[in-house]
Amino acid sequence: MCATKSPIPPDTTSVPAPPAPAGIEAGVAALADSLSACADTLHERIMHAIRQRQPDQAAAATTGDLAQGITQEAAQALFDQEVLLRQAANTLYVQAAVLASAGLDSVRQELKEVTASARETLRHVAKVQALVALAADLVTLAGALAAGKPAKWPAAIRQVRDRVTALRHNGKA
Amino acid sequence: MILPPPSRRTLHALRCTLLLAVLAGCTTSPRLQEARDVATHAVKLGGYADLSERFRDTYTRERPYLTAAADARERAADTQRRAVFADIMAIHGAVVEYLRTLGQVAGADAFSLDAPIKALGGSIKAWPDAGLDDRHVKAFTGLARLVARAATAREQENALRQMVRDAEPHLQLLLDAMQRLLRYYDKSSDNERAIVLGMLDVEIPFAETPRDRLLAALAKAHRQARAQEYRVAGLRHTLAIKHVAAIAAAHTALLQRLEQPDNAAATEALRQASGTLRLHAEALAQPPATQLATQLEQP
Repeated sequence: MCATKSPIPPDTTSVPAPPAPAGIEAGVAALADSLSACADTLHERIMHAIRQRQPDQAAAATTGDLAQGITQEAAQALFDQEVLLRQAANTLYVQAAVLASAGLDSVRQELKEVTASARETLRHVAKVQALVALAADLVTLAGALAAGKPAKWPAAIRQVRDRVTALRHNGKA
Repeated sequence: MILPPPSRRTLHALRCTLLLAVLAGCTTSPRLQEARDVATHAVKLGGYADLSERFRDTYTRERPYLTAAADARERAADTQRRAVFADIMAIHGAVVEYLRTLGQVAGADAFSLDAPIKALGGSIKAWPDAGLDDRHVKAFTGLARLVARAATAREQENALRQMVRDAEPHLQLLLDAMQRLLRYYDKSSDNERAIVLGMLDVEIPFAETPRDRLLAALAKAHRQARAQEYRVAGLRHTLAIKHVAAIAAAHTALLQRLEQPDNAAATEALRQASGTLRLHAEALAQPPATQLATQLEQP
């Protein structure tokens, strides 16, 4: 779990509701861990029995004693049990994942609002930057007009028009 | 704006102002750079996205190794994994969007009026017969940029501080959920590995007869390849969890730093948290072979 907490109390007007109680989710995950551990133990027994295989399997089959070794069918049957345990554990992990990701809608929304507000500030600043740039272009245009050099007018006028259009676009966005 | 010819004293004053303007231009707020660093190394949340997809596709990978009964059981789990995937990625989306915007707000030119004011100076210079020459214009624009920079830097830091402060509690909740999710993926992957490799381990010994020698060899080679895949996956889960934890720590440290700009302890804490974050981000970005090699070298 993330253990860092800010000592300065966050100055938010709305405290987000916590997701599903950590207790349930933690309980589900703990149960899944136990099932996985059981499966691990079972697997060790199966592998140990397989390694103990004697050439003569008849004795092992009748006594059912794993220490004597194990037939393939028996090993497969035991392994199927192990898979059952692991599948149950994985299903529980999915449940835990569902619990972890549920109930975070409001939290996500709050974060989205912070992001949107910051974007708005950036847009406002971009507008100011554009306005100053527009002022520069207007001065250029005025200079071109005052200098009486018609060749320079179209470019200067186009520049101003583009900036105004961009400004209007940003305003609508 | 036509000025009388400048006197020697005026020229000297203008040169001093110009020097001040240039010097002021050399100092950018360190806190903005620190915030940029945090955002850059945090926004690469690729690990979480990849591993969420991997979790979703568990059934597809497991399928060849399951008996008919196990296959039927697994299908229900598969449906649930696919159903929860949307929520899982929604968390990712919100966090990435926030971090990207954080980087933009802390951006070097985000609030800067340098370029527009410089252009204004250029435009004024282009005025014919204005009686202005380079020195006047440079002094004017230099002063203007100095004033603007002070104002915009303050505004930028204020906006940044407000943003980080407002986001902190929500971001921490989401990052916490992401770490828990990654841990569940990891454990699920361990069980998956045990099912896949376990099936091979149980069957291979019974294939080690002269008749089935080829089958045994193929199976063993196959087992080696799959084992390697799961090793890499396990490593990625660990790295991803560390990365998310580092983001959480760095964001908190950044908040302290912005709220207490003169606090030396806060500065140091952020420096360390940011360094850790960069380390984990880089480790995640490496190709799997390098990740494994690095892991093996560590005690």
